[in-house]
Amino acid sequence: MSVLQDLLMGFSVALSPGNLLYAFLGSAFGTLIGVLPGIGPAAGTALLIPLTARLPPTGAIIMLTAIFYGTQYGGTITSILLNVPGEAASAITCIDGHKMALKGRAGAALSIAAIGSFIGGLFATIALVFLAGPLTKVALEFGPVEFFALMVLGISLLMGLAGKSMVKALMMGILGLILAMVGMDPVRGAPRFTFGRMELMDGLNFVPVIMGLFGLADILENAEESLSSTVSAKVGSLMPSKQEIKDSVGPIARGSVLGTVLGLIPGMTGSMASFLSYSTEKKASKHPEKFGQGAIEGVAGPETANNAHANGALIPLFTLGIPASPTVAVLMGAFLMNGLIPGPFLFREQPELVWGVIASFFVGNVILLVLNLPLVGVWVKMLKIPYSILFAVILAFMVIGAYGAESSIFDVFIMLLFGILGYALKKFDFPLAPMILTLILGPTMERSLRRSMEMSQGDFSILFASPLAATLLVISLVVLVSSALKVFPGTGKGKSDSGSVGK
Amino acid sequence: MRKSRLIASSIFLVFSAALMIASVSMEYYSSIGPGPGFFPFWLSLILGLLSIIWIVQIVRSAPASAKTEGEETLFPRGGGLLRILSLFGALCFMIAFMEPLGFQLAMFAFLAFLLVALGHVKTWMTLIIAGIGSFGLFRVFTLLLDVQLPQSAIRFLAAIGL
Repeated sequence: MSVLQDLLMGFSVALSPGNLLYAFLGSAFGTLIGVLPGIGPAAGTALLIPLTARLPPTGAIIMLTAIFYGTQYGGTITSILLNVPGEAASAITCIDGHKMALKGRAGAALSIAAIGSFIGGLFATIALVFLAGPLTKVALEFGPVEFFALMVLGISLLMGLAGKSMVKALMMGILGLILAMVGMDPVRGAPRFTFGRMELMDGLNFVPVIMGLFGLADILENAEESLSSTVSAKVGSLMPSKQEIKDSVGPIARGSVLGTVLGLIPGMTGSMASFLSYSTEKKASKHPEKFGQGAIEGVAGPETANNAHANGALIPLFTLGIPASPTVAVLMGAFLMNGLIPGPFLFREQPELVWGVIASFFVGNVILLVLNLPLVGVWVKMLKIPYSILFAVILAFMVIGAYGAESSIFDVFIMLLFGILGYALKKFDFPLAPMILTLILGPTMERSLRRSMEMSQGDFSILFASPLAATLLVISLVVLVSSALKVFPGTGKGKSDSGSVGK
Repeated sequence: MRKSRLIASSIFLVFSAALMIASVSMEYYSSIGPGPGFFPFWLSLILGLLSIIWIVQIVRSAPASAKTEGEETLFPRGGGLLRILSLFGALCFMIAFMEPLGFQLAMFAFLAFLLVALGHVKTWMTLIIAGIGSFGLFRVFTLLLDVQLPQSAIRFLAAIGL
């Protein structure tokens, strides 16, 4: 079947009444998570997994992916209206978006952001449609050795880009792998680090872990300050001027390409995509002095890039089974919970599901455009809920989310434990993304390595016998070494850790 | 701050040592390749080495002046600490009492405490939100979404639907 035939089949799945409803609900919940400060996309997506527990797998994945890319739309609203990013990828939009709001142009900024997000999302989805075939064809040739090398590369890229300290990024990556060891050994079936608890035999449930690390840790951090606050905001006319539309065309086009390409690279976050787009637009502009004063290009580019990134980040997940960011790792976990292993085999074994979900991205982006333009007033009303009420409601959903996945109070305890751990790690400037990625990839990575070892009767040289695996491993090493050289003291290029960095 | 970092890095070091000891008791290698202890052993070793590198970085970093050191605090004190401890206590209460009391009563008490003590929300509003968040959500999740939430283990409470 050709790509277009596959896509048409996908649309027949995505446009069924049930799946349309799931795409709508996912888009609405995603926008809500994006709008509400205090809960990010990873924790928000994990929080809503129990809602999808009893849905058919296709509906569940359609809803969860819509939540994921919906958060990117919603985050813009608070950035523009309140100068508070609803999620990190929209932080840069505060600079010019909020300045526009102060000039009474909030509606125009929101419209351009929504249109840019829509075009960026569509562009990345079209890229997924056309890259899916070639990439899965390559991936189908992969054996356990190549998959192991690919996962090492993905994790290395993430750690290399993780932030200020390479040592801390590596520590978090290793900690995630160690946590992934909890449960039954994937080859022999021997229990490891289960402390005799039956609840740990299947490993740590990733839903409470993520809600703790990303959701509860944030609430604990916010609790350092008073939890009482209210907001008020005005939107004004949604219609951008002709000049604003003309000025947005270039940034939207560049943001679409930039976001999609960066989405393909593990470790490149939506925030990086929007920051890079902002600096690109500033450099490309004939009037860079306008940036920071309410330039529409400073809204159009970054907002397009972060949404193209969100959809682009699904390309490595769908084709190679590699999550490129923590939220995509949550989605991968949701796939696994539904008995689906994302990657090339899924295209072969469940084409209706895969193409149905891909087609739903087109549908979801249209729904999001409607939700974020004519209905923007509804989300602005949501912003009037004071945080003093919101945090308690979020905590209630977290308890339900943690408990509901396995009907186990032990998972609520795990959420609390990881909430405290996440809060402490954030205090010491540890990046949490590598831990989540390795926690989810750990079992597959170990299984691939040990299968490779079984094939070679324990000979490690098998890892370098395949030219592809050897190349990937060498690239990983180069990425890690070059990143390490930038951050280790004595090289004169970067900052060391500890005293000089952090809070 | 430097002291806090040294404590944190030492905790990582002790954790990796404990992990390495635990992994030694597992089968490391067999005729067909790595056993269950292989990965944990190497991971704990690498984590230990990274912890040592972090400790060296902290020791080599310029020490803050006594005045700055005294002013900078990593973790909150006073009201901030009290709010965090209250949140922690409320979640511990949920873990301890959600199954004996049932979701609805435990969640009502949990929300009422958070809203009054931390959110300073008015009593009538607290009662409405806590009621919806406990009794309302219980019905939504159990009846509409088929997510099982616990009923009270106390017989007479369970008998009246709590």
